[in-house]
Amino acid sequence: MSGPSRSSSASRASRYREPTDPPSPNIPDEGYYEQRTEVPKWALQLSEEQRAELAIQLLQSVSPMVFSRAYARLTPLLQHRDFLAELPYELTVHLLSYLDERSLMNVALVSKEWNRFASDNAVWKGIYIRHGWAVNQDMIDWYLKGSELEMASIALEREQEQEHEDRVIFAARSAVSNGKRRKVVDIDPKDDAAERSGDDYDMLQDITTPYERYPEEEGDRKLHRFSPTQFDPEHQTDIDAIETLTHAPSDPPTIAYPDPEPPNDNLFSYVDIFQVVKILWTPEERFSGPATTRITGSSCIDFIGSQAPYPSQFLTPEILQAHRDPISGRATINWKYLCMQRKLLEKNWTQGVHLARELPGHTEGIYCIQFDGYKVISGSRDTTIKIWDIRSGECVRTYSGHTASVLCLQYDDTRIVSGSSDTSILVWDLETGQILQRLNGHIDSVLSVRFEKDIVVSCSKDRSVKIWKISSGQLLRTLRGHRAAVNAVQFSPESAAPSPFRGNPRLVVSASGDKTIKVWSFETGECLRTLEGHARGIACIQFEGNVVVSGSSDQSIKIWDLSTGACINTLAGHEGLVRTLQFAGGRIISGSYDETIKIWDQATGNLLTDLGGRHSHRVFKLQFDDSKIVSCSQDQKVAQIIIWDFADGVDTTFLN
Amino acid sequence: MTVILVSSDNQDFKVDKEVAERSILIKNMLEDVGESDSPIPLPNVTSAVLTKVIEYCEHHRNDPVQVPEETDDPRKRSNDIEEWDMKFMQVDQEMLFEIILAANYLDIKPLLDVGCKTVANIIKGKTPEEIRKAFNIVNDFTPEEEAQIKKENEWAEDR
Repeated sequence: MSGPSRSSSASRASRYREPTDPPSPNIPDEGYYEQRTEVPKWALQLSEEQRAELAIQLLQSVSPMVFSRAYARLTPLLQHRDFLAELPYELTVHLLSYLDERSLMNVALVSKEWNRFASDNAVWKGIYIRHGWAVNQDMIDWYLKGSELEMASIALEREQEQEHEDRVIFAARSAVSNGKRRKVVDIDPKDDAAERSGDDYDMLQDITTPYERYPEEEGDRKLHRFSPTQFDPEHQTDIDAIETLTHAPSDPPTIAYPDPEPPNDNLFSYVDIFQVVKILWTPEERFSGPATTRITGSSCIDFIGSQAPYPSQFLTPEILQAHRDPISGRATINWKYLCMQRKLLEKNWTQGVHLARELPGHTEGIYCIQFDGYKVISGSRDTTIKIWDIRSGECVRTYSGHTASVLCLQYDDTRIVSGSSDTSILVWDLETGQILQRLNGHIDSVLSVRFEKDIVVSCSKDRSVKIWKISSGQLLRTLRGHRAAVNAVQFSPESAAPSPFRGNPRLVVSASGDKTIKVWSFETGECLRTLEGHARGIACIQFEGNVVVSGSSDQSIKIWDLSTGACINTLAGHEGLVRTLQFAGGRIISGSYDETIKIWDQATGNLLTDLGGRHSHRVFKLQFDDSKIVSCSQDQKVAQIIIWDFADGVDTTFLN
Repeated sequence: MTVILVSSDNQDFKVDKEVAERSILIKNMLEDVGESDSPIPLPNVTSAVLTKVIEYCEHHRNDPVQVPEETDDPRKRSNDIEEWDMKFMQVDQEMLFEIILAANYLDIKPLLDVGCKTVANIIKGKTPEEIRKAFNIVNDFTPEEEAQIKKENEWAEDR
């Protein structure tokens, strides 16, 4: 057995090993562990019983003093501690947060008590976040707030119902005791019941806050809580009805108010409370109301607007059940459940399990796409831009304005920026299709555009990279240096992490048919670095922090370290030009002229999945998120946008 | 400058202020009290445990102060333990338990983390039976319950 310190003394941090793995004897003893004799190998092959027997016999052969020293060393080893049960709860949670899900599963199987610890929601939340997995925060907010609202409204209904009963009793009693004539209003109990007949009521009725029972003498005050709108003169009857009510409790509930005029003090009416609750949940305070929910019309549910459905109206009982605190019954996010769904999703990715859908509509090849949770926007050789509802697959908008192929586009919440082989760049209003700005200056096809806020960066077959200001339409800078067409460009966002270059400049990274990638200063236009290594022209790049990934006509993908300019890894496997790629969450996904899409492990460079056989032509562009890839290809007969959905069998409600 | 720490069994420990201040509890106490040479009683820590804790603080006296956000970010959490710490933590379970409690009480976050990691690493890679053996825990599941939990947790198994 080699001790941990023998091999790893050079590296300061080393993995902890079992205490049974003692330090090597040639290391100076620091007093933490002593082993003076190697245990003979044959002894270790004995059974446990035999080993214990051997040890006892050996101990019996030594002097009492040595025996007692050995005994003193053995005793503490028998003092076990049930760490999880005996540590304060928050320390137990902290401790468990160092375990992966697999170890937690073993912890769960240790004992009933340990099973409870291993199910702790905070521990699983930690695991979820540690994986770098994202959640759909809008949906989580909607679920938690919506559930609160739903409970509040049910509690209100119940309070009303109770009030209703109180009134009936009060009215009946006061009628009997006073013998005065009063106006009585009938309320049809069926209306009330119909509102509550949904499943949601049954499921949630146990968790509403207990309503207050009002004592009889407070009846007068209570009556004022009713809004006048709830009185229907048509249903007014005479005092006789009350007289009968006291004798016939099975009659429909009846309501009365003691004064001839309706009360005007309705501060606390149902309507008011409902509005207060609604106002508390005005989404505009937190969200800027993305245009994305409008563009796709009625087929898309707006989860962050005021018309958002209640959770029980939208989620299945199983999902509601999963995300409810078993003790309090309150809506809560079940992180273990989310971990499970994420794991299933990851498994689908790794094994290539997916459902594929197509969006037919463009009449010619599609060069570019971008998508989000609601829509896909595509640009085509047919010179149009189309907006698709990603759920229904319907084309909801077609914008015309370019006079030749739309080669590249990007959109944000309100605008689309597109580049075309007509050499122009157009800025469109996403909602209306109105052209807001035309950026003219390139003298050949615009091959890639990127924008953020008021800045557009474009590159062209004319070998230049240009930086524009949208509002003024002004060309700010032209970056020259590439010796062939510039195929792809990207620039660091305004809020980028520090770049590895002196003065921390904002960067522009471009890839060219001249086989190089160039890194430029956004501010000065100076070329800061040139990455060389591809054997042929480069078609696509993405950069993020210090990492650049590029795809080339040499059929390979290269991963670069931006700070040193070194190529870290080369991924081989495609059998054609690598035209498009994206990396995120440890995955690189690439699309090629070989008609396949490949999924790679970014860390190892291993090919995980090969998605072939669906595109029947060159893949031009792809984008992926946590659960799907959207890709487009050249096919001129049936233009293809394919949605590859890896969430089959996975509950993605709260996943990103 | 030195300070005197007094363990629960009334033993005095004279340590450098810099060393003692690895404990945020002591650091705050010293700041509150100001310049004073009155001993600091630590009624929750025995001399045996305090000896170990001081040994740790001595070794780590020049470590940069941890930024709490950084260490609490689960994405940056690692199970790696420095070699010295790893050997330092090769103690019996009783002592390990006491060190964790003391680190929590004295507010020495890195020591608390190392203690928790050490326990986590004992659990890691072990079967439920091996874990029970390591901590002397009785299996109170019926075979049916055990099968049920296994079934519920199947998804975590494969990668």
